[in-house]
Amino acid sequence: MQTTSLVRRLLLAAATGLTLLSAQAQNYPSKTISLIVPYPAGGPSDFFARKVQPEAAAKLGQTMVIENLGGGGGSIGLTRVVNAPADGHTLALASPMELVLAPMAIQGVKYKPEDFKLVAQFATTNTVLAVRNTLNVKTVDELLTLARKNTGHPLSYGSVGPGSLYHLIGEKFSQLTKVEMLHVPYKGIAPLLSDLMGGQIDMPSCLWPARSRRRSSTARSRVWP
Amino acid sequence: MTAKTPHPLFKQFPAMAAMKGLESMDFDIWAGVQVHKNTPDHVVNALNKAFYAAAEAPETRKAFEGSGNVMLGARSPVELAKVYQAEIDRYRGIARSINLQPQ
Repeated sequence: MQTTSLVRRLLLAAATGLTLLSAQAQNYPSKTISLIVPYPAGGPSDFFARKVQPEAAAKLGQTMVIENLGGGGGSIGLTRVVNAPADGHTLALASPMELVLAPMAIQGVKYKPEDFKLVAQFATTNTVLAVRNTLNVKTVDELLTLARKNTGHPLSYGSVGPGSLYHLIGEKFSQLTKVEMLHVPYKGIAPLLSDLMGGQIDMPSCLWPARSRRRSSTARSRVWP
Repeated sequence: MTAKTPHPLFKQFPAMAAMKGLESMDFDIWAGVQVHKNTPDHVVNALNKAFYAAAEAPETRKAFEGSGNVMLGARSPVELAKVYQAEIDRYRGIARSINLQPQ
């Protein structure tokens, strides 16, 4: 009698569980969505996230919070996404820098780009090279002349981490011009910019046009080229 | 500008890839929303629709374009899967061209 009752209760529990499971599948999203920006606030990824978040949250009918999780060339934020349940409640606002380049450039990054699915791709942009104002160079040629004069003291350039596009551009530029440069990795564009303005780094940092336009308007550093 | 031609909004920056010896200084970068690869299709579809509705909203579009971005337009998750694989291959190629080593 007791056994029958237990079996019945277990069956009932299982049936309820199944119903809940299918209801959950239909009722996405069922809780707050986390949109992870793999850099500190103030960079381009953060800009995109903050622009799309209010409307996307409204369309989905759920709260969406932006989490800035920087470090490891963006890989710390993306690792959070691959380790979270694959239920669409943990998203990343990412670029090929963190997705493709970070796993190639940083030992210890366990994911590969194929571990992710792209649900929306917004926009593309080219980058600009900039130098700090006090270097007093206005053109590529002037910069190269300066760099070649300073042998034994390579100019430094900032990037958002090993394997970031900015690092690749710096390396490519160094390779093409045969000018040695010192790579200084940062956690994101925001801390990189404050060091560039403070004069802690010398040299070309590769930035999105939006950022450099803002910088040139402050007249504290020169946009080049 | 790391491009072959100057950007229409930022004509004051010369195109680096048009300079002699710097032809391969042609780089661009995009941003998107990513989820775990095992995310069910109906969830992926819901996110695809919601994020493109957000990106295509007039003020958002204006903010993106005003900062030098070129909008890529809404596409289905099936189309995006092909785009993503092609981009993975392209960036791996760039990394190999400078002999990027893990550190």
